[in-house]
Amino acid sequence: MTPFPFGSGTTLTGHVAAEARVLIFFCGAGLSAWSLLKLRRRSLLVPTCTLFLAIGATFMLFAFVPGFFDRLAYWSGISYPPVLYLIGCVVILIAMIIHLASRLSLVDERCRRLAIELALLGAARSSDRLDTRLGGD
Amino acid sequence: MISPRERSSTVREQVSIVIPAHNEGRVVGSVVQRVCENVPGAAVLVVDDGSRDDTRAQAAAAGARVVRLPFNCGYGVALLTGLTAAFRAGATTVVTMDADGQHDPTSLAAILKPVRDGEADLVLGSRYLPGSVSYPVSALRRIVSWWLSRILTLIAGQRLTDTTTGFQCMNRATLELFVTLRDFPERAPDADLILYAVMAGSRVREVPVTMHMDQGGESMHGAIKSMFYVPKLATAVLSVLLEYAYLRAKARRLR
Repeated sequence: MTPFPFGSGTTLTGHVAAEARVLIFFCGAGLSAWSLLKLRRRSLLVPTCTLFLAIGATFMLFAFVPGFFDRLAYWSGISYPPVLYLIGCVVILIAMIIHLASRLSLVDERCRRLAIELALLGAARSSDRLDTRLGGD
Repeated sequence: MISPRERSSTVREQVSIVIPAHNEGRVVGSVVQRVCENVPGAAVLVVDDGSRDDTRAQAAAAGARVVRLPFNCGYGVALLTGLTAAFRAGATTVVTMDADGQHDPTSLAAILKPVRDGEADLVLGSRYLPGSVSYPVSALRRIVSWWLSRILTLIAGQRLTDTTTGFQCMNRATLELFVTLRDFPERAPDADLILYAVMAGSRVREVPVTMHMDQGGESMHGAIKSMFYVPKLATAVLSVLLEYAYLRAKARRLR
């Protein structure tokens, strides 16, 4: 027997209090507003901003229709809806880690190359004869 | 096609000694002086890897050309910087050695000879070959080094005893291979760099050298880093093996 039998007449939205829904809505709205503000100041990458906006929108959707995710959980065969949230969070976190790790590797590589070129340019500038001296007299 | 021996006779030899250094102000000056005494006419290039001490001033005062990285980037980046500088300057023979006094400059003649004679493309200074003089190496390090050497010997098809040595000599072809690699192993340029050369068809040879305990202030391979050294190197070796097709194609282009 499932704890929240779908279609049995139980109100699926009944177990989220109104205060909680307001709080969740403002969390989502706050996250979206912060993301847009950062994007406007060009201090947040567009893909990252898109992700935060999507998360904010999901929060707001949950606040308006709390039963939606429960229905989604039952539809996907999960009898205990919080598990769906947990899986969703883990998937999003792993995706973010992979994305940020690949970005970090790319930036790290470019930073090293830049440091090398900067060092060589600095050495060439400080001594015009560097190139001739390096190879011997 | 010109053989290395013919090429060495037609092209004027330009020897560069590349010395990556990080906070080695106490010893780098004497190392540079001893290198200049042992290989007269060679260009000594010290790559100052964002040192906080007077490494740059000491090296310059001893007669070396100094290339300074804007911040501490690690041994691999410093090495690549030095190799790139030497390559762009037209060096025909390049020796890499440590700034902490571990590699004895009196061994420079021995390490240069096979490349000068056209017998090898890459020469490794080994502390384990008969005839070498070395400080007492810890048991753990010896075991790790032995295993690495066995693995590389199997892959390379020739006996290699010291695959973590930074005391190396290379000709221009090998230098070009290293500086134009699409993914130079900047994190751990040890066994994997040798493997790159082997897989690209370079003739690798080992010679016995003299090595001392480092006299410098700060090791470029810290204690915590050493804990991750073996798994990191294993991954690095695996990544080189995955590059086999690319390396063979690159070697064909360079020839």
